[in-house]
Amino acid sequence: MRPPSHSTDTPLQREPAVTIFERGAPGRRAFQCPDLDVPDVSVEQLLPARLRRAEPPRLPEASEPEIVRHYVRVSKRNFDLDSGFYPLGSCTMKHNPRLH
Amino acid sequence: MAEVSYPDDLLYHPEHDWARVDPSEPDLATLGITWFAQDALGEVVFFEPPSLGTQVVRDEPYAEVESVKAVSDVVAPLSGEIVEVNEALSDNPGAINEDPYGEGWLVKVRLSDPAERDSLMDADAYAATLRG
Amino acid sequence: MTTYTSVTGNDLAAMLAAIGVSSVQEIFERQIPQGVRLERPLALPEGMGEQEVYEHLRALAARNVSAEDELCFLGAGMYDHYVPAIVDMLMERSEFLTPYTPYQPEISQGGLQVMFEYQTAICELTGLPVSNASVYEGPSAVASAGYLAKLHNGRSRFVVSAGLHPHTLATLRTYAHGYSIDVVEVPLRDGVTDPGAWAAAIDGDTSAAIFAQPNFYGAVEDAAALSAAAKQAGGEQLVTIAQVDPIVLGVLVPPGECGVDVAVGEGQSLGNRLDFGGPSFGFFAAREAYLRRMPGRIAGETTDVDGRRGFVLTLQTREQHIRREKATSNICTSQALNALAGVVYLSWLGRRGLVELGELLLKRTHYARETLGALDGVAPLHSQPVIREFAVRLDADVAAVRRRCAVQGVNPGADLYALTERDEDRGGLLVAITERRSRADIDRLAEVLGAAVAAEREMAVVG
Repeated sequence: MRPPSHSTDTPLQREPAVTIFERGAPGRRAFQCPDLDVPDVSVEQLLPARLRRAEPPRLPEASEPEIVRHYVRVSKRNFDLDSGFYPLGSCTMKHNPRLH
Repeated sequence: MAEVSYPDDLLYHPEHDWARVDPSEPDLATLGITWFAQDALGEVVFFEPPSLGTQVVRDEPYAEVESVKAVSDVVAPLSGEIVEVNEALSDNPGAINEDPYGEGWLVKVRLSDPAERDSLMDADAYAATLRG
Repeated sequence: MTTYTSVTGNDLAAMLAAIGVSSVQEIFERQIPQGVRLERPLALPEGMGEQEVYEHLRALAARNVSAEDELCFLGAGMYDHYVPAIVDMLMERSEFLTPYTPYQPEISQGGLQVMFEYQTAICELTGLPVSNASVYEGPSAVASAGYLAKLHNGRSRFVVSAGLHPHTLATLRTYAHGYSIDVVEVPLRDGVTDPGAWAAAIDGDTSAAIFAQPNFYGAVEDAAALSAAAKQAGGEQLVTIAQVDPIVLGVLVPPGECGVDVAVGEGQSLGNRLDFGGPSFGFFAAREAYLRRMPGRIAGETTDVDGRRGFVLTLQTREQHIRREKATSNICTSQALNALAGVVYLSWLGRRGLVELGELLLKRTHYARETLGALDGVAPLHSQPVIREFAVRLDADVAAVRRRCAVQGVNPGADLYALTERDEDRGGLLVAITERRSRADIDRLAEVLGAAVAAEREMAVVG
């Protein structure tokens, strides 16, 4: 079943898939941690070694614009109901305006 | 995939399971699913055999075969205790599709009531149920 | 006539003609037998237009005090973290907000890729090799993990730490009743799961051993010791389950490195607001041996017929639309949007950011506990390491103290006894720290709480 009024052949849909983990570069970041405003007691003093994580988790290292562009490009590989009708589900078979 | 076949030397259960009994060892049966069953399931991706020593009961399910689109109970054509399982299927579950009566065997059972064999169908009778 | 779909008289006439009936009423008359047909309109008020709805809901909302209106140290399961602007930007995109469940991969590559990235991030956080595409929230994730254990080993008891969130315990008991499992609770000692009682309670008929990290009283548990003791007492078939607060996984040893088999938890801290309690998402990660018993959707990476990288829902044979009553869950509606917020947030924090945030929480929580503990009539409940939440005992009525604080625009935390109903928790207050609570905020809390406790103590003496 191919839903009408939606192209599945735009350049964005044809380009190879790249995950967020493959974007960015070591050391890049978006988050800026609030400054430490309390006395700096070391992590070692507050948590015994056996409870501490040794290696940081391998989360992405990307700048904020890189993250936004990545997810915007990924979004364009999805059919969406603001563009056209999709005759399945019930929650999705309706108009979804949003207000913030 | 295998060609359609229902070998003459096997006994068949209406739920599409077969049993092979070697005359030299009449209380040991090898069990599996028929060509019809593997064809209906499609590409088999997973089979986890029950543990050795499990008691199986005729007409009741003793395991599951999982294909890309479905999970199906495997019904025991005969009652008894599982004495051997086909370990090779964990790496190659597709053998159930390619060779359902040979490499695709599932378990071997020490029969508790060999006379149950008389209640099963031969190849012709089973094939007739598929046509009807 | 509703204006939502804006059906005109002409539209209606055309539709009725196409199906060969003379009126809408005739459809009901032809389909619903007279004896059961409702012969009057539904007793509902007149509908409102969009503007009226907005004004009405705004008036209702104005009667609530939100975390924006007061200084909020309330936690106990959901936390007032900062949600960056890019989360809303991306969640509101219609391509993420409006699609259906991705059963048709050819029109859902965006959503499926997001699920795959989310699963990868959860595996990295937890140190476990497989994750699903999210479940509804924390407590039901724990209950589902229990069900996985029962499917795996067929045993008949769960041993659970009293350090689990009371809502998790209640949910677990509800589910366990449904699939005939007894739930046995092991008490805490000095703020953490009593190791002796834990080992003594577990035996060869224990299906799962379940604890929280940190526990409900804010204490960091020795997860490796609890898992090892559980396997020792219950055997390899026993499944160890930890409910984990994901925000601390930059700093604490991940459950996968502690011998935990299944790690689940509440995902709200990751990029989701409080939102009056939801929606949020639950995460679910496990060792590979449990893959086929996992609930929920799973996205997988594959190649299409042209050899291009793509993503699909995989292992759907676990799910209810194929497995029916033998399914591992009945996840139907999708929390994918909340999980998207989670993976965007984790990408925004990044590898170093999650560590830095965790260390900030650790240090501020320590400072808060020290500061409050120095107040008269306020004493920490235990001295275990804490990382984002801690419990104190007040020498005063907790509800009365909280009311006095509210007048000062401060929510000092959760009334422990009201949540757990355990006698030993009387007078208890559970205080949550997020990166939004600065040192100045903590000092203000101390000032207001100290004054409130003092005022209540004085009244108690006088009265």
